This record gives sequence, structure tokens and C-alpha cells, in this order.
Amino acid sequence: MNLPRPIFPIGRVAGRFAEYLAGLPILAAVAALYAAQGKIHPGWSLLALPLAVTVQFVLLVGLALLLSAGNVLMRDIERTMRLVIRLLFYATPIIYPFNLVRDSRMPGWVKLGYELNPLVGIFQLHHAVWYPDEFPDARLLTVTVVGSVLVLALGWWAFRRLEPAVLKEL
Amino acid sequence: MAPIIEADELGIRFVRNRRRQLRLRELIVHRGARDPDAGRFWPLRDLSFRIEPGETVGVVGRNGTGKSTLLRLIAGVLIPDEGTIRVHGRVAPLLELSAGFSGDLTGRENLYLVGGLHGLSSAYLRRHFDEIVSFAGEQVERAIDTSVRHYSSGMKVRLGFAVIAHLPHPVLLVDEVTAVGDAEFRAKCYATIERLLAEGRTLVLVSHNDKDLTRFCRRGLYLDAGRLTVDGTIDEALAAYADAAQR
Repeated sequence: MNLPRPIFPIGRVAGRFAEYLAGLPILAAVAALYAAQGKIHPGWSLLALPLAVTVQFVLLVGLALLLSAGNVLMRDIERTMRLVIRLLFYATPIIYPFNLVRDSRMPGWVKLGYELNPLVGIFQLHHAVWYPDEFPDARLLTVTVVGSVLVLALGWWAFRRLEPAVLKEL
Repeated sequence: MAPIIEADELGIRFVRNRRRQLRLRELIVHRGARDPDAGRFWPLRDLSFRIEPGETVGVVGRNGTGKSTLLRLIAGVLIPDEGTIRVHGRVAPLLELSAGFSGDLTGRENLYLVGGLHGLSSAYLRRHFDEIVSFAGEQVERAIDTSVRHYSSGMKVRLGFAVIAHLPHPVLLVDEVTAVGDAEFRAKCYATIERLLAEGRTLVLVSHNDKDLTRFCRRGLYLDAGRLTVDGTIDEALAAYADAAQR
């Protein structure tokens, strides 16, 4: 049957988004508890959440388009990605604060390369929902948004480009 | 009247043994030392034809001459490497009948899923639900709320056929009608195809069965090694095929 084929990778991303939504009540409950104790003061900063989710969606759709087509042609991309994901996990401020990297004495080009990863800005946005001080500065925000859109454009182009070859494989 | 299917210098290239061969490992370790282009061939090339609305076309040829590939190009599930294929109207493909079925879902859910994938609205499917299910046969009717994983392959194919036979799309692609189901269901298939053709649909049929071809088709395309050698009446195409078989 003939469908607009980008629907498959986009559908996967949407599916994961549904899982994320299912987890939101837990986050909200913890946030409510913290707010009651006066540890956080949610306000306008809550708007960072839809912003973070939107930018993340753009990035993920781009990656999904790129990798889905690539993975059909080279089946070991899937296995390689497990390594890459682990690498990205530590290259993103998830288990350590972003300031630790910014204030470190590492050479400037390392820091620059680190901040080129759009996930850094996205996670800072997720942090900023509850801790407004973490909101990314203009440069980081620009890099994140532009980087995500570029990945989407690249993914879309690659998907269109590889489509004829992918269809022959399936 | 404008043609409903137009093929212009149509060609597609496949690579033999390509399936799951190329890997990152290959790129990094062997640096392309193994020639990835080895085994390229054209299952179809330089095909040009026009099919008018309401025409019934039979495609004949030996195994491996690109008949099914042609149907898949018309259905739009393959993209040509050369030339163009234009189809003005939606296509009801009787090719892989159980495509799109999800084993975990019940027959009812799969009917809505597959119908939806083929572009039918759920309102349309609800209206025709009983009709589709009873067409698929009593066995499927009883098992409509069981997951498709427990269906026999015949039941799956029959449900798939039932959905596609109820598509209102003007172009009908059929690969080997006689391969479907038992004698009783086959009779039903023949009756359905005849009814659809009487409504003025366009048919492209791939078959090795002379009786089917002469029964449904007026025009014939004879494919030999990926080239269109005869484009005439079905009898001419069958004669060319018989000629080639004797040699």
C-alpha cells in the first residue's frame, strides 16, 4: 500500500512522546511536593517545557528519518547506535550540572564542541522548567534551535534520497 | 480520454545479493574493497505504455522477467531509477494480501487498520463492515474478535482480499488470482473481479493461467527479460509467450 512513508519514523517519535506524557503525572506530583516545601517556585518558567518538547520533537524526527533509512541499508547501524547513545548520555548535562562544564578549565574548543550538541540546550530547557537559573543563554538557545532544525532538514533530505533504495530492500 | 496509467521509458535497477550485505563494518574495515556494484541488473527497462480507464490488461512472461516488479511500480511501492510512471487515481493492490496486518490485533481491529491505511474513512468501513466480513467467509466471521495471530494463512488472505475488494479505487492490480484460497473462495474472487470490471475499473493482471487471462483481459503485454516485446491483444501476447516457451 502506498502511504507517505515518513509517517513510520514520525509515528515512532509520537509513540515515545505518548510514553513521556504518561510519565508526566509523576513529575508533576514531585514538583507539587517541592513547591509546597518552598524548594521551587514554578511560574512563567513552566513555559520552557513546551519549548523543550517542541525543539526535542524537531531534533528527534530528524534523527529518526536519518537513521530509519540508514538502518535499512546498513543493518549494523542499530547496534552502533547503542554505543552512540551511551556516549551522548554522558555528553549531555543529565547526571551533572551544566555549569560544571562551563566553569571547568577545559580548552575553549572542547566547550564549544560540547555546546554544539543540541541535546545540551534541550536538557537545559528541561531543567529550566523548575530551576529558571538554568535557562540557556541566547547563544546556546540559538545553537540548539538551529542545530535541531538542521538535523531535521538533513534527515528529510536523506530520507527522500534513500527512499528508492530502501524500498528495494524491504 | 486521458490515460489512467502512463509509463515512459520506465526502468528500475536491482543489485543481486545486495540484501543486508552493506554494513558500517564493511565500509570501515574493507573500505569498499569489495565491489558493491557487482551484480547490478535491470529487471525492467525501457518500458513505455499507456493504459486507458476501463482497459483490462494481462501481463505475461516467464518467471523473473519483472512482471511483479511492474505491478509494484504501478502500485507505487517501488520508485523507478529511470523514466516515469504516472497513475491518475488510487490503486487497489491485490498483491500481498495480508500486508499491514498486525498479529496482536483482532480481525476487527485489523480490518479498520488496513482499511485506513488504504485510505478508507472509518465511517465507510463501519457502514460496510458486515459486508466485508461476510465476504471473507464464515470462518473469519466467527473469529473476527480473535487476534489475527491465531488465523490460518487462508483466513488472513481472505480477510485481506475482502478489504481490498471493497476499495472504491479505480485501478485494480492483481497478481495470480488463482493463488487465493479454496475452490469456493476462488469462485467468489472471480465473481468479484467480474463485478468490479463491470463497474468500469481498470485491471492489470499478472498470471500464468491462460484461462484467467483470456477471461478477464482484452489487452496483453508480453515481457521478455525486462523488456516489453509485445503490446497488443491478449491472444497476441499469449501467442508470443507460447512461442518463447517452445524455443
